[in-house]
Amino acid sequence: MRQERKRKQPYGREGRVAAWFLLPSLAGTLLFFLLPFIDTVRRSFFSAKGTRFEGLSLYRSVLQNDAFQLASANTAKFIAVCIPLLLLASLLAAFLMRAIRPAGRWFKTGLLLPMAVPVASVVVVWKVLFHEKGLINAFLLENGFSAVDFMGTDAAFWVLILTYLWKNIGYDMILWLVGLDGIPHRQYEAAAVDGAGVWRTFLHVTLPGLMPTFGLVAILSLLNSFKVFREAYLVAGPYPHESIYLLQHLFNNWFVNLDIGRLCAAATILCTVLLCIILAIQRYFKEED
Amino acid sequence: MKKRTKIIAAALLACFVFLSACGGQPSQEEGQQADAKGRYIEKDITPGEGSARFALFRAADGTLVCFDEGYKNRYESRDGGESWEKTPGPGAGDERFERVWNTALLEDGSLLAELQGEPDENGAVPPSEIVKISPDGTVEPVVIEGFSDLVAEGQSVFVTAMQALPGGKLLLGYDYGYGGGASSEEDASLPSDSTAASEPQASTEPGQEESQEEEEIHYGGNPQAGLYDLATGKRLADLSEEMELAATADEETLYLLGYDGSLSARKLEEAGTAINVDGSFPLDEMTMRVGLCKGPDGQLYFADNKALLGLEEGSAAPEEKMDGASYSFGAPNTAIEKLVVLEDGSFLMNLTGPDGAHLVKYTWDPDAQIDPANTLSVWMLRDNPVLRASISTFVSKHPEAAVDVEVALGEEGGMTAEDAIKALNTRMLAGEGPDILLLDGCPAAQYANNGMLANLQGAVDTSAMEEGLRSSFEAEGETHFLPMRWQPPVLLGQQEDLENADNLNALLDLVRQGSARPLLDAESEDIFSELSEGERPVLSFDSLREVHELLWNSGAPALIKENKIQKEVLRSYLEAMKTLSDKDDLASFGEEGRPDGGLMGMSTNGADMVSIKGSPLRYVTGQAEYAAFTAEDTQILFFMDEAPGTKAALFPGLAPGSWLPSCLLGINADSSKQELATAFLQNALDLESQSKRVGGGFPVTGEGLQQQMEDITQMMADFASERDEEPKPPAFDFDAVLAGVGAPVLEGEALKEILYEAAKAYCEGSLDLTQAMAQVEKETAGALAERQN
Repeated sequence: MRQERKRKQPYGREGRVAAWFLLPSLAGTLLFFLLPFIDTVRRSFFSAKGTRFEGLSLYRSVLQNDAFQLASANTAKFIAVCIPLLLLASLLAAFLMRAIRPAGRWFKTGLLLPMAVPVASVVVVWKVLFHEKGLINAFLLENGFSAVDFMGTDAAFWVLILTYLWKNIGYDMILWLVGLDGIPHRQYEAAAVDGAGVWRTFLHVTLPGLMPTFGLVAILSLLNSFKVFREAYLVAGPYPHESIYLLQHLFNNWFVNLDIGRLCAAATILCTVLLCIILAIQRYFKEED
Repeated sequence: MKKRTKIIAAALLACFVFLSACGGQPSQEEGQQADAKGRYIEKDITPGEGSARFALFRAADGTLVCFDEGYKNRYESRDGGESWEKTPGPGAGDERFERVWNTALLEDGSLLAELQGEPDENGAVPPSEIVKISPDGTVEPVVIEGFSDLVAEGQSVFVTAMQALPGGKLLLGYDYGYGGGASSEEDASLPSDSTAASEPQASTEPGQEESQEEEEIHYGGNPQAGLYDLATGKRLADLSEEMELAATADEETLYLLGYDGSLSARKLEEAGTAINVDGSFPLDEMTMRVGLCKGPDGQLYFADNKALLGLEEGSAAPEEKMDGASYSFGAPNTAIEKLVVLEDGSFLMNLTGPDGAHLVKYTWDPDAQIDPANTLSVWMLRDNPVLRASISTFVSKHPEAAVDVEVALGEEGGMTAEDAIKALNTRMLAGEGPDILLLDGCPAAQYANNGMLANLQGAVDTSAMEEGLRSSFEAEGETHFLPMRWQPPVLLGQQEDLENADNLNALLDLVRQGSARPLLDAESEDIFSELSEGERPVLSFDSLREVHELLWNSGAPALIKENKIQKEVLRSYLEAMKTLSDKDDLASFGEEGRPDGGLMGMSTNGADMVSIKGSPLRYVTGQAEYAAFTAEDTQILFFMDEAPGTKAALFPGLAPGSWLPSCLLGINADSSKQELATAFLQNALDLESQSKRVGGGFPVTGEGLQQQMEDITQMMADFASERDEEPKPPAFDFDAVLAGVGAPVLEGEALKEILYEAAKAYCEGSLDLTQAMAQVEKETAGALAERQN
């Protein structure tokens, strides 16, 4: 009987204690994230002052807006290109790191440093490198190539990708390393005994073992991809080249123009899409488990 | 149980610490309550019937001594200006005092004065002389080392600053070399025994003696300054290198304020030894008239139009004592001639403005309170003299009210305009926005569309506004913001020339056919010489930016219609830029513009320096056939007077009749002081505010414009009288210009800047026309798409 009671109360005493400790953080999350989000959703159905109910007209206006469509397409394209690249590059970095142990710790530090560099410094470096009279163009001209207008052409998109990869490789690499450490060594031994080569070991031991980590890394990378807006904004201003005109640019400009209703509607749409993606990823990996 | 209680207590403590860190600041209203207790009360204590200017002094015994214009009357007060005793001044019966600009009151009650002779027919000014006028009327010359030597040599010398200091010392600044038409080394070189600093002598090499003589010709003045002993006339210290904007002294020390706001000090004894002094005052680099005074409490007090500040001894940062916005010394067309601190801590200011000079006293009343309900908050992105002037008149009419001015892009900080607007928007959405908004540089139309601005229709009487200016801001029976000034792009020329240039294409054809502007040496004396008819270009500008401003202000409404860039208008725009740029070779000079341009002049308010646009300057000096610019105030009438026969018309831009609204004011719809805010806006449209000549554009009311015209006409008549010329009434036909006004330019800075960058690239040759057009369309696509509904 006592055991049955325990099953009906899965969290038990320890769980309740944990809940109390989590309370301050939860209160902060509620106050600074959840409540504002609920207010944002509410505002997406009202005028800027919140006095006139607009219904779905704001959503309709957002979805039909050319700027929103362009920004969405750019953001989707950016995510579709940078996330796989980042996952691949960081995974390779993790493997490399393990292969050159113990010297790999310097390598790890080097890859983590970009995360610690302030955005303003990144912007300065960016300008020095990619300005029309910057170092890269100077190098190109010296070697007989023509200069590239990095921020005024489609090249801006790849500069943004490069910045994102540079900033986040180290972080994702750490997550992969944790995942790799979580794969029992016995499985590698068993694979070796069975005569599996490097590639087969990777396909049938490493990759399946990394699946839980894969989901986490993908979600975090997706969320970090939105932070690259800071560099784009500081370098190119509120109206950059169209290839790097992202959703955050649109939100920023709508806020400046006090177009709050459409801003909230667009933010709600974005949030809904992201939530669906994240839930889909979680569900996929849950089924895999 | 015990353990559980401990855990719960720890968790609750953590919550408490977390949540308590989120608040704790006093509310704005509480702060206002705290600040509202005690304030300075302003009182006009101008003696006599008033005067165009006063010379104010505080004698060693605390008596206030004041002379009116021409020094005809002397006023003394022993009760801090509450009452004045009038006696004849040294200028009664002596016309020379009509031209006295510098005087100093000595410790024995004598007056030191610089007497200047009348200019001759060529405009050359004879040397001044410094005299001492004793209380019994005896006049005797004063010998000052250096100065008197130059006068004896026949140099054209005049005093720039004169201040009597304790212990028989004198601070004297002077200049020489102006207007003498010096053509020989004798005229221009320094006296051989002078210790004054001067421009370094050019080194001489064999065969270069002649050129050295030419190099010694100074045609720009030789400013000198020094600390002198009055008894002997000897110079104790050379202060020529210390750029001095203002000076004050106590018994021991002379304090000098530099043009950059920095402070330096000299011991009055010890031959003017320099000593360290901490601190500086924030100074707008264009401000010329400030007050500086050492108070009896040991603080250094500084006053400009923005505020009166006090700097304690040893402190590096001054403290604000009075916000200029709430008092008449803060009016932008008011110059602070002198600041005096009385023994009881009151401040006395000698102020001059368009309506003459006033002595104003500010006394601290600890019981005076301003009810927060009567305190209006006014927000502006950048400081605006028109709004400041309105605030000044409002406060004087409503002494029970106060105005809190917030300038978002102040002198400190690296905030951008966008950051400032976002901060404002956050406050507006939270219901904590300011009561009055100056919307220049802000998305005014969006604010109105989103219901952030109160409807002014029926609340503010706009009947005094010119119909063409007012109607542009009415939509569906509502008005949400109104301009207090307007700036038309204008074209000046002779009547027949204007008829030949009644559209942009005709004007550009004339430009293409006309001469190119010669590049003059900026140091040359011919920089402002008239060009012959064959050499004179049709239009002439100093920079690409100047051309762009003109074309934008006269074309923006046609460029963007129905949220789309009009391609043909854009093409015309870029071609016009190229034509005008090529003629003056502007593209090769970059952002700084042509080196033979960039003249500074005194602004309309007579207190600040402003940059004079190239086109009107070239026209007035006979270096161009036409002038094309956006007229920023009634000073345009002076330009017309300088070139006889000048007529004016609206510039025939791409959007005929377009004009730039300025000082757009709106009331926050959520403001709890709607009545007071409405009264403020009404006051801004009243004659007193509209007639203030502070730049920013022409008044939007007929009576304001009429008043300013009358003031300018009177000034022009006075100038003509001084030159023994017949006064000419201004020929600017405002009615004709007003009849042609069309759409106002309300487009934001972002699109304007995109257009400029593309036009600049086209003018420089890095883009061709098609590429430049494509760049504009591409870069504006996002901004325009965002607005699409």
